[in-house]
Amino acid sequence: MSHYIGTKTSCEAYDKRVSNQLGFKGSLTARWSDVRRHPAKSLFSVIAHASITPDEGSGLKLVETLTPDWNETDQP
Amino acid sequence: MLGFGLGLNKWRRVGGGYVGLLDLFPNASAAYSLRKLRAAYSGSAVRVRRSSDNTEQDIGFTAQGELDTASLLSFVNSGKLWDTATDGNLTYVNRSSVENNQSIGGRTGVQKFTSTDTNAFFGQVNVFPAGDTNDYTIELDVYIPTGQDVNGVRTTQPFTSSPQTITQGEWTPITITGVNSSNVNFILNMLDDGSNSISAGQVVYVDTVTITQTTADGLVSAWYDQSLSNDATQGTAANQPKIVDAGVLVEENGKPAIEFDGVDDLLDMGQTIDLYSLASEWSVFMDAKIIDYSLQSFQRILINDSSNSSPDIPFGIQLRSNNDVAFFNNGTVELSLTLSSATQRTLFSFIKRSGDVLIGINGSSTTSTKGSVDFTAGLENTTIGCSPNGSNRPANMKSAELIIYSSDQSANRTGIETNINTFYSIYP
Repeated sequence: MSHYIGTKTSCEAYDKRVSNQLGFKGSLTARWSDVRRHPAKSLFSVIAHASITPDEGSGLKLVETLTPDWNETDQP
Repeated sequence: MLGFGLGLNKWRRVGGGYVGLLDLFPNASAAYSLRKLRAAYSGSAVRVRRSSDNTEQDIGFTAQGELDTASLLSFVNSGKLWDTATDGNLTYVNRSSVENNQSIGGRTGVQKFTSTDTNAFFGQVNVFPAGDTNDYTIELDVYIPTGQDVNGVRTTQPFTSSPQTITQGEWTPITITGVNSSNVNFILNMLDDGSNSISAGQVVYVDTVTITQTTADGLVSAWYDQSLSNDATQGTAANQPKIVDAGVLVEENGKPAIEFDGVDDLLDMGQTIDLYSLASEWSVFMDAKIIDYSLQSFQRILINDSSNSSPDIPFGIQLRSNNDVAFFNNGTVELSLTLSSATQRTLFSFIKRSGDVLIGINGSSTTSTKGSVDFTAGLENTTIGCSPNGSNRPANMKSAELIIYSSDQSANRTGIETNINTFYSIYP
């Protein structure tokens, strides 16, 4: 699953852009994707929609998959 | 033997009345299933969002207590990307002109397209998402006046269809099916005996255009609690598990199942059910089949997490690619149980009692150590398919049933397990 990586603001803006374009019509679904924080770096990610691109100048970088360091380590 | 035990036919109609698992073993704190679990339950099984137009609908049960898959598939595969009844008239013309609200052949309010050159076409731009390759059914009524050279139409986008011959002087309903070849527009060409080489002044009337995607995904936004009101929900689209995949029902062993993607899918049960405090007793019964471990070697099928540092898990069931399964309870982890296959469908049972815990794998049970950490502080939500943060140990799995009691169900364990296995045929 592809993700965009960038600042919290740019990731949140992308989520809002996709949510608005998809126009959820149900009573439960309210947004496209959670914005996820990297456990150790000042980076955020948001799931990429297959056909909706970010605003030009957003600075978001598209990656095919998130690297393992995005996962928090907890036991066991 | 299975089929002759306590659970035989208990889900079926007995003596004329429906008897579900919760009728036999009542007072669950939460009960999620794709079959009806008690006779008096009048709610739905799941709420489903279809990916084609993001509409949601509740899906219930048949009279036999099974998931109403006919309604589910009908709903998911009927999402319209265009419907003139709600979206309005077509607006795109090329080498043609359009006049709206025309009357012809006994109808009013229809659209009239007139060619202004050869290769005339019309339709609607930006109907489909970029890169789209879904299947579509396009339906419309066409009227071509008598005496025209034009006697047919065909789509050239989203796919090139065969010529649709129209009988002049009457309304002709046409249905065209095909796969989008990554187009974003809907375009109809006017044809003269199958050729788009036509003269100016040819007239085609069009009415009731619908474009229906027939390969949508059905995503679960709520798995309804059939016992109380602890619905498991997911309001974030990308984190919703599937119950219909590209127009096809998700199944396991011939029965519907919910599929979690192993990336971020989860259903959230909130914090209402006590699966965390040291003094409480609880019993959990859940079926799960891990699809594969390529994305994660540790996969959490059910987890009650906390914000504590290690130990941080009040309760959970986590499978691992080396075939073992970890049952967490109050900070203790039991890792010794081994499955015969890491990807076999399994019925897991976990009963936390006053002095120990009882763990069941496909009807066979063993006792183990009760944990000692009280997680009444820092509690996070209980979630199905992944940790509540949507990223830790996500499970790429299918599941169809999860029942939780806030009590010791040791006396009923065999009956509950047999009832579940009789319906789903999980183990021999």
